[in-house]
Amino acid sequence: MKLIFAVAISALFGTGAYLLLHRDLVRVVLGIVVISQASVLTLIAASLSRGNAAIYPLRGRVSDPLSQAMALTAIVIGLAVTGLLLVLVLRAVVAYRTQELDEIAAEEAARDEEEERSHQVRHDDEEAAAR
Amino acid sequence: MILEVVALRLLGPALMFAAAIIVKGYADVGDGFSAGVIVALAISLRYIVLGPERAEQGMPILRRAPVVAVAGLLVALAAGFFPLLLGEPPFTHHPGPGEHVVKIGTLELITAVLFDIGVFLLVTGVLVVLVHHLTRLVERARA
Repeated sequence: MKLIFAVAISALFGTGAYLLLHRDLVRVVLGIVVISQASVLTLIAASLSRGNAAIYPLRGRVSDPLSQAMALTAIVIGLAVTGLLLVLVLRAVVAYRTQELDEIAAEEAARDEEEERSHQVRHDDEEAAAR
Repeated sequence: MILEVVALRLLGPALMFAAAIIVKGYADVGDGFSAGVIVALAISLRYIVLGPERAEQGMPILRRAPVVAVAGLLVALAAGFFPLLLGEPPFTHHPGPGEHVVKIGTLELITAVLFDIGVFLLVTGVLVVLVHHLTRLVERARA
């Protein structure tokens, strides 16, 4: 059982890391989601124990409820982070009209250059006026 | 095409499954949270396939998702903290373990089920609100 969990966690983490290294922003978000699922699985695998559900009255051996509660918390936090990341990607897509990191960087550099040039022009104008 | 058909038909089985999870939740694996996530997944598939406008035309209750979420929160809080009025610790459920329980089929009427239903409504409502706003933002970005 532990081996199955280990293989599943490593597969999920590997997939997530591969997605995370993509240039596409949506894939980056998907990578973060998959890695957070891997962490949830790690939490569950951290306390693998057989037994009844830990519900009062306790009958015989019960399984450890702590890691399951923590996994639930991790799922909720992962959901909120996913929502936030998706909105951030959406804003980036709206602002730069692309979801490729390279193109966003190029667009940003072009805008900076444009701004620099307009500053320079204004500066030159002011100097000319002062003269 | 296939996705559209599936998205429209999937809501019924999802609700059924959620009900089953809530019913066995207090004595077995499962609770209102997972039931809410399952229903919200089916609804979000509907949103993705149909878009926010058509998805909400077919099911006007989706527009009331914030109300559903707040109602669920109030139900869960009431079920959790009502025992304080009787001088018992919070989340004391009635009838207690070993006492007689009114049964409808396999559904046992205890306050823990009420709490789970509250959590179910809260989770479903919040997730639907989230998907609603996300799909609206995407539509506006496309336009």
